[in-house]
Amino acid sequence: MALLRRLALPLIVSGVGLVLAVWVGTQELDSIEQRQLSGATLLEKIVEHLELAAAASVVVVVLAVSLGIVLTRPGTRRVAPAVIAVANVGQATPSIGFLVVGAIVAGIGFDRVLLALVAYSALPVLRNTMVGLQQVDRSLIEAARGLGMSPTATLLRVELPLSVPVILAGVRTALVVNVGTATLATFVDGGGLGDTINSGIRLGRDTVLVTGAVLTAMMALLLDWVARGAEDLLRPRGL
Amino acid sequence: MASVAERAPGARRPRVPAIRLEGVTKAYTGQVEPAVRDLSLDVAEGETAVLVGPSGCGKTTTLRLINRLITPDEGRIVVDGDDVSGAEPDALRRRMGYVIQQIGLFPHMTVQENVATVPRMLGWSKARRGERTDELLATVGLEPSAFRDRFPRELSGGQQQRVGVARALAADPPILLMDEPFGSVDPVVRERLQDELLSLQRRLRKTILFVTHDIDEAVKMGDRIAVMDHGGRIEQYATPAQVLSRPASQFVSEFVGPGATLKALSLTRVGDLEPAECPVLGLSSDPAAIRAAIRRAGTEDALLVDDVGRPRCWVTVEELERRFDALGEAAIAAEATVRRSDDLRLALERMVSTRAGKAVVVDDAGACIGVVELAGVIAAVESLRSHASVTARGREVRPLSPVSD
Repeated sequence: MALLRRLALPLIVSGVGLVLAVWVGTQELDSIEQRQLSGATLLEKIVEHLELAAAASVVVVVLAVSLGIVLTRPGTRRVAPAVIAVANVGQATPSIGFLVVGAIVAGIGFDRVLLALVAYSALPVLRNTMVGLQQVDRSLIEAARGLGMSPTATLLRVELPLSVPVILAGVRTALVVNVGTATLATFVDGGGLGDTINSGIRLGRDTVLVTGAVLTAMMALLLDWVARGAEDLLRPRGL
Repeated sequence: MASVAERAPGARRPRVPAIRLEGVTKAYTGQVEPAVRDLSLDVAEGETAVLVGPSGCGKTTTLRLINRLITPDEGRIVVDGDDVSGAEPDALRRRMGYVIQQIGLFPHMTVQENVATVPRMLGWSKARRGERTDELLATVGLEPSAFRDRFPRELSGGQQQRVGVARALAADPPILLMDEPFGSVDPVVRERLQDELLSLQRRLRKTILFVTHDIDEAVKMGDRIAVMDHGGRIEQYATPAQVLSRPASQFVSEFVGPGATLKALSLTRVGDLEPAECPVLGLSSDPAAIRAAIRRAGTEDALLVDDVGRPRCWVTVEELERRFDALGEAAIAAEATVRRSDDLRLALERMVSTRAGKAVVVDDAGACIGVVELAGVIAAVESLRSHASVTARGREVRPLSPVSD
């Protein structure tokens, strides 16, 4: 029963994929649609999209978690509100604006898209890292230090393990945000499923548009599901 | 060292203080009044010193200064002859067990991992850590096989604090710092944990600095008590008996509160009392023999015991004359019994709860080994008071013989 519940989401997503494939198969496809919806093209777009989202997520985790750790250390706690404010601006700015301004300033391509995605999805990870570390019971840190654990050992063996669930929740949010936002990469020549969706819109081919959109949603749901699995595995026992 | 010698001239071996504070001052940023001002205190090796005082008086600050969780603004702290300001704080702390009121067990680690925290940092092998954990769990009264692999949330408050104590003892540190260790458990469990720590301490002879706000706990646990007022000012640093019978200031006597004499009763054991004169005879003794024994002893009554020596009843001469054929019914049942290791508070309680006004001292098998009465308790209180006044002038010896267990 638990296994079934656990596998419910991928089963549903596969079902949706099957329905999509059957639906596309029943359509009369013209040459443009056939090119856009060919297996090779779609696979290429999916891989591009995954690369973008994954790269952005990895960069975000590395940057935002380290920043979150630094900002919760005793010496730097005072600057934390300022950094959070900057991260808030990053998230509040429309992501398309980021992309376009980024493209104007720095040019187009994968790296620029990556930059925009990182700026946009850093906040949930940063905030959850800080909240996660701050909610660790002070008396545990007191006990750890009192027993002679160094500040680094206290961080690695007590503070971080106890914040893992909160931090991973932030990472999941960032992952989903990144998959969604990566569709905008098409506007600065970044590739991905955004290309498929955008051609569908521009060329007035709804089949292409729907296929791109549904594939993006499926990817977001599946990645979230994988991340939830990772969360269960990484959550410390005993909590 | 001269001042050390002056402090305890009666001691048999020269006592080097395991912990010494000299003129220590600590002010927290943003606070006008320092939390601790010009504090000086010596804790002798192998002794339990209790810091007791109202909340906010600087007790916890003092502990945290000693293991350098905070640094003093002024003054010197010397542990085992070394100035701690020169020591590497983490290494220093591994030489001192630390127990806090919130217990602070790591929730994501098993009992075994919690206990082995310090040994792991010291680089002990896994096998040695496991062995040590089992040994310590047994020491604090937890069955190793049942508790080793549990997580803290699966333990009761009392069990958690036992693990906390085991964790503090893991690397066998010579010094234990305990900050209200039993503050978060219910009174029954607290009493038991106190007793266990006392018996543990009789074996381990650690230097313990114990913080509490409860004067009863201080009297029970301490070889010496430092009564603290705000700002870490020590109003009196003396044995429990001295603090109770000779408070050094208005503050101390108010802090000790009413009933200081009753509290002092818990410092003396039944075994230390002068036994009362009392004829003890078998239940089946001839009335004439009982009468003769009472007359010879010059007492009002005699204690009758059964064939294995267990106390049964008290009889007076009048009762013997009136109802010598029905002794069992006429006499007062000798129900009030105490052991040699019981304290006088309990003995007094037992005495006043029966008409006889006396208690029978029994051994482990329940056989009578003597009788104590109210006069003996009063005499003990008197001697405690005069003894404390003598020791207050210089000799600092705890006025009670250790209980043999």
